[in-house]
Amino acid sequence: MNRLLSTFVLLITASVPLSARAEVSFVRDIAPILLKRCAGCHGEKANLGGYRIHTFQYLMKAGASGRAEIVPGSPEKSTLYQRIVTPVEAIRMPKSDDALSSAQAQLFRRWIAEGAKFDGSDTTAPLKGLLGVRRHPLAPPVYRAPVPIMALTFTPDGQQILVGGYNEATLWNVATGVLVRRLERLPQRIQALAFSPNGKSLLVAGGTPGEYGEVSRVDFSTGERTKVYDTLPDIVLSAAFSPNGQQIVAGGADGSVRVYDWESGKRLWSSKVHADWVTSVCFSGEGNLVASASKDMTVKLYEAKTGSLYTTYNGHNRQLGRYAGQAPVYAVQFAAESPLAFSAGGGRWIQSWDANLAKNESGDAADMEERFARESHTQYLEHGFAHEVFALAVQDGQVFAASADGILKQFDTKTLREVRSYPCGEEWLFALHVSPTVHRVAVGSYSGEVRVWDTQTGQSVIAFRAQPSTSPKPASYSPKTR
Amino acid sequence: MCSLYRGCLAVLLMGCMLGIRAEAQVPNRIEVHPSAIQLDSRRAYRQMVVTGYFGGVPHDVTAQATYKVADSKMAKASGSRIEAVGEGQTTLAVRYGGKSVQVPVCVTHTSKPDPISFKFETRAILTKQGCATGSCHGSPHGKGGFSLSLFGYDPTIDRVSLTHDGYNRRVNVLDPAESLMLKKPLLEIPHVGGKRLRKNEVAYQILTNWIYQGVNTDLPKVECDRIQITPASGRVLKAPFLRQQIGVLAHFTDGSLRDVSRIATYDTSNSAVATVDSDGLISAHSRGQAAISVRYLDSFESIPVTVVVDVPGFHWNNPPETNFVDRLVDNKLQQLQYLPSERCNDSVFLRRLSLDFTGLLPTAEQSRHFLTDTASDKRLRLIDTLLNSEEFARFQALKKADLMRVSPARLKEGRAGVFSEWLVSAMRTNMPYDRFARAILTAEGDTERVPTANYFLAIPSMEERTEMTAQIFMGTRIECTKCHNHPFENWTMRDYYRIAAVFARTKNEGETITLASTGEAQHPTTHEVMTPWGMTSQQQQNHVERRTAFAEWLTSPDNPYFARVEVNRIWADLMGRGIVEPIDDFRSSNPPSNAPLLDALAQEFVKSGYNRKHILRLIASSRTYQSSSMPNAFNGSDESLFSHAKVRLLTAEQLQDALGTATRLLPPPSELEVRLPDVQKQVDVRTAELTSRFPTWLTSKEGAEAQKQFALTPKGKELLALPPDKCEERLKATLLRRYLEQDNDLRNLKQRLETLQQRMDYATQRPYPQGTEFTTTFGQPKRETACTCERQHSPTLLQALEMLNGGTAFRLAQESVSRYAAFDNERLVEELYLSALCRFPTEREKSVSRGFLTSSSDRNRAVMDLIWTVMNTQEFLFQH
Repeated sequence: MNRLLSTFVLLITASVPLSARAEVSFVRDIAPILLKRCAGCHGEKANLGGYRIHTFQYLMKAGASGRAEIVPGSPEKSTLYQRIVTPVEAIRMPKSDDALSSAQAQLFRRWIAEGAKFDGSDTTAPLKGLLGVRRHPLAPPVYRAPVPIMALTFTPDGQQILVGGYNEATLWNVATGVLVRRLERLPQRIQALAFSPNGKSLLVAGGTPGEYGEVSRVDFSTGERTKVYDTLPDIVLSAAFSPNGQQIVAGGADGSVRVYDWESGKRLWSSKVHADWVTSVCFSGEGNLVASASKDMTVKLYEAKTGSLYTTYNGHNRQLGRYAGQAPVYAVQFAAESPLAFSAGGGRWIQSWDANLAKNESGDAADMEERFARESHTQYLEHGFAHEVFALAVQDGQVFAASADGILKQFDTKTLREVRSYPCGEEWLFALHVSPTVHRVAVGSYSGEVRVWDTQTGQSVIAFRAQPSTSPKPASYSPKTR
Repeated sequence: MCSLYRGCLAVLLMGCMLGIRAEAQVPNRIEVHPSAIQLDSRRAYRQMVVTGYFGGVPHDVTAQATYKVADSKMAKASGSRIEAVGEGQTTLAVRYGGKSVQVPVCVTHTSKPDPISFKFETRAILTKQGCATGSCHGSPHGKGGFSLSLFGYDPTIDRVSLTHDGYNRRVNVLDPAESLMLKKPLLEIPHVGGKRLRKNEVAYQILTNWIYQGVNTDLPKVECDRIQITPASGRVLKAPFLRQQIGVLAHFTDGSLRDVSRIATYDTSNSAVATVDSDGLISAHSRGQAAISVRYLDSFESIPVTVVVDVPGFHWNNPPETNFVDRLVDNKLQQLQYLPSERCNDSVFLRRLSLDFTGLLPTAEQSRHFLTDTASDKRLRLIDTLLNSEEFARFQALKKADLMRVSPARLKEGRAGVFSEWLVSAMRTNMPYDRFARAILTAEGDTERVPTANYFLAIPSMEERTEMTAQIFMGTRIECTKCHNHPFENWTMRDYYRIAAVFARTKNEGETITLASTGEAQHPTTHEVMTPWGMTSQQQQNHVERRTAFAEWLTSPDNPYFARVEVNRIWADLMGRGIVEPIDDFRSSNPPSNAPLLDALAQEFVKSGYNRKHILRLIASSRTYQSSSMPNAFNGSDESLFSHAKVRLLTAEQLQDALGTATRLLPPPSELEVRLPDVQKQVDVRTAELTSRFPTWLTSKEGAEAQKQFALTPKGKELLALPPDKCEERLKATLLRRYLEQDNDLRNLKQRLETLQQRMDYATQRPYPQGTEFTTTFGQPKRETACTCERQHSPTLLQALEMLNGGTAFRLAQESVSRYAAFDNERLVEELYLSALCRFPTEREKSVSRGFLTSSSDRNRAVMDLIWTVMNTQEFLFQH
């Protein structure tokens, strides 16, 4: 049997041209294949056959069979390799799936023959992290279909607006709605855009859902990515500057919250206390706290310096009382130079609360029942939307809320009364920015539309599709693209 | 390494040995479905199903037939699937075994765009790939933050989940291959649900194109009305024809038709017998029966498949047939090549029938009498005797009461007794079952006076009434459809709330069931006011009461559930397994193991005027019922075709009473006739005695005090306010009643009398369960649901311990000594065996037992040990 098999293996290997002569790199060549083709069944969460490959250390360990799957120097004795190249579909890996290409199999063969060496820094680190920073492709010349806008920001002078696109951010003239410039080779999805205090650089965060997140710095004039603060195993959903502009905070679908020094790029701290996605992050108005909202229905507050947990705000998950309700939180914002926070998501209210009072009210488990029943200091602003609020902005005593109803509303932070309601079409609104210099608010929608309003008069300034596109409708179906 | 390859070799060899390739045989004729093909869109196709008739027997030859389209510019054959190419008319030639059929093909609208429909394709695929199942994203809270409606019952949930939710993370219109909803199931990135999608599948094409085309989630008004399956009825698969292709045609409410064979979801009820692949191709694996189910959106159909494998040495021996039951059971057995077991002996029959009909063991005397009777019709006579016994009525009523939640906890102040007594009398008089159902379902009034109204008192909510009625009388577990359409059946939420509407006006006012003139059931999501189930429009116009209309529908002779469900319950009671099993889970994906038998029994039931005793007699007198539980060489593996009797643990009530009979501590019910008048007489004597003493007592100091006390009570005040003539009479009567009530002796006597009348000492005869630790251990239900599954049938360790070491068994054995000790050893052993096992001991049993009794120095102790030993034999604990 064994001899037969070896002959077969020789046949396979002989048929592959041995072009590349440089040594095979585990990190560059092998890890990406393992992640894409094997980690689904032999990864962090699943270990079929008792075998996992999510770190190099595990890759080299034996599975349930008790024998190491990889024998350095000998592809013939390495079950992993044999299972990749066997012609018998019933036992071939990846199971019930297309076989690896012969070039890929050849990479494995050479890597094992060359000693199955590890060229990363840490054999216990997840392979996902080894892959490092991605080089992003150019954006598509025109958008065949609308790309939902998840982030937008006015330029510091308020005359232009930068909109998150697909592998890019696009710059538009607010007066005309004309495309000014494209900042390309950015993450696939852009979830956060913010200008640095001097207006010269941009904080850009986003990624590829389910597999990659990135926090980076982009030179606004050249459009070049000048620094990557971090990469994450899932998309980054939110990022923001501290009031003094010296730190940034980011959080996303991996549930972590991370704070970096803007200039040095050093990670100051990271925390993973949420049970679900982190949907929104910000610094407090005084800069001493960091807040993170989550689908887990809480807002967490941290000491901005150390990252130690300051308190948990539970107003969106109340079992009892007048404001009972359980809802994910999608947005948290602070009023300038103040501990006053606004948070919203699912549910009927925008909640206005004080970070310090929230800590006082957040007691221990013993008095939980009592605390649940008692009404807190929180002020509940009934927003009147039928659906979720995805974005909040606080500016000059006004709080703006953008909802999945397709409506933007403006409230007074003192009276909590509705000032104005801006109809923004049928589609969900995800992105919102209020210019601190001109009295304007902009929202971006699921269908790729930007609407700009004057916050004092309530007049529409402009509405346009912020999409590099030639036709207003998605291209019709063409069988060639099947 | 080596073992690995040996495994593969085995796989390869297996394929050869099974010889699964059907050789081209010559059929008498072939039948091609469809007989004409209409393809009316660019992506339209039609799955062909070709049947060859070999000596009249149909077999699927779809895979072996050849398909040739005359004009390839109009249509093309992809395997046995005909696909549209361009507009026009042509013909398809189908050939097999020298036979040929021409099928006209008409292709239209291929120049028009044919975008993927979210409503009719995308959703179907999400169900087909398993995404929307209850254990994955279809669970109420989804999985991993991604939630879909169960089997796509609510497209408005699914559209948002797929496109907007999670910040649009699941779809990528610009680069469909980058969509998370494809990469996860392709396992390009880790997915807890595993590999669910392959790039060569039609599912991948549909999802990718749907995304590419802009994730359109329009929901047109048209609905899928039903699906039509080819072949329309079940098939028998036998080598070399071990495959069967299914074709699925969807009928839409706008009259259009579409072949959905590729996007329908297929499943099997028994994967050991037959499996079905994602294109609807069934493969047979081993002898037996399976239901292949087909789901497309909310429509659901099943077809039964029978796989026949020749059993070496099998030869049908034409066993005797008593009635049509045996004939229909035998048909199935012969087809699947099982031989029925021999007829059981007299003692097994006696014990089995007594337990089934009355719940009780016969006494030693009755057993001896039956076993020594030499008349040839003694079994038939026994059946009739037992059918006419009071014990039969009570034990049958117990089973009905189990389902209708008759318990004093629910039906207070004697109402449990009132309802029970009605059930007993219905069984005693053999009330036609349709009348029985109508009396219950249309009951109204004071629950103390109208026994059947307690059915509604026991379950106050409209929803519970809906579910319980469906389960008891329609054999349908409809609970699922309260919140979503049924996962394995055609029942929908609309159906649920239409049945609910039947009970929407049945109100509980205190303890009285009343009919309100208003009250509706609303569909929870559409808020549509539902028309009551079973009501015709004419009945609606005539304002026929909703429950009356429902009962009329239910008990009409052509109702598909009513008669079937009840005969199946009767069958299961007698045979230990329903023809449909579980007995209250009738659905096409859970077909009867012998459909002709169930149909014939139901027909007979209807024809007899819903005569339960007639059906019981019919089954009990059949050879099938009377077959031995010992399997033979050709039926050991049969579990559902009734080739041999099923060995069953006695139920809790049967066991408790059987222990009483075996230990002779529980007097046989026949003795009640003697004991009841005796106790009644004692009650009368004591009452007369007290009544005569009453005038004296009334004037005594004690009596005066009692009068004074009574005058202060509300009742007393009320009586004293009456006119003097009436007042004195009523006052006296009331005081006498109180005087009698306070007498301990009389109270005890009356209690004793009631215990005897109500047969409280018999677990199988009481009106409601006693709920002792012993009966609970042995699975007695608390009567909290309408499901027979509430009764636990599977043996537990606790039960074994209870019998071996438990207080009850020990106490009974101990007390029983006095009932046996007086016999000499020879007689003692015989009496014990007759009492416990309904048979005479064998010579060996006699000598071992006698030896044991004589060798012991403490005879009483030895007698107790012997009783305990017999109590713990499997022969005693099981019905066989």
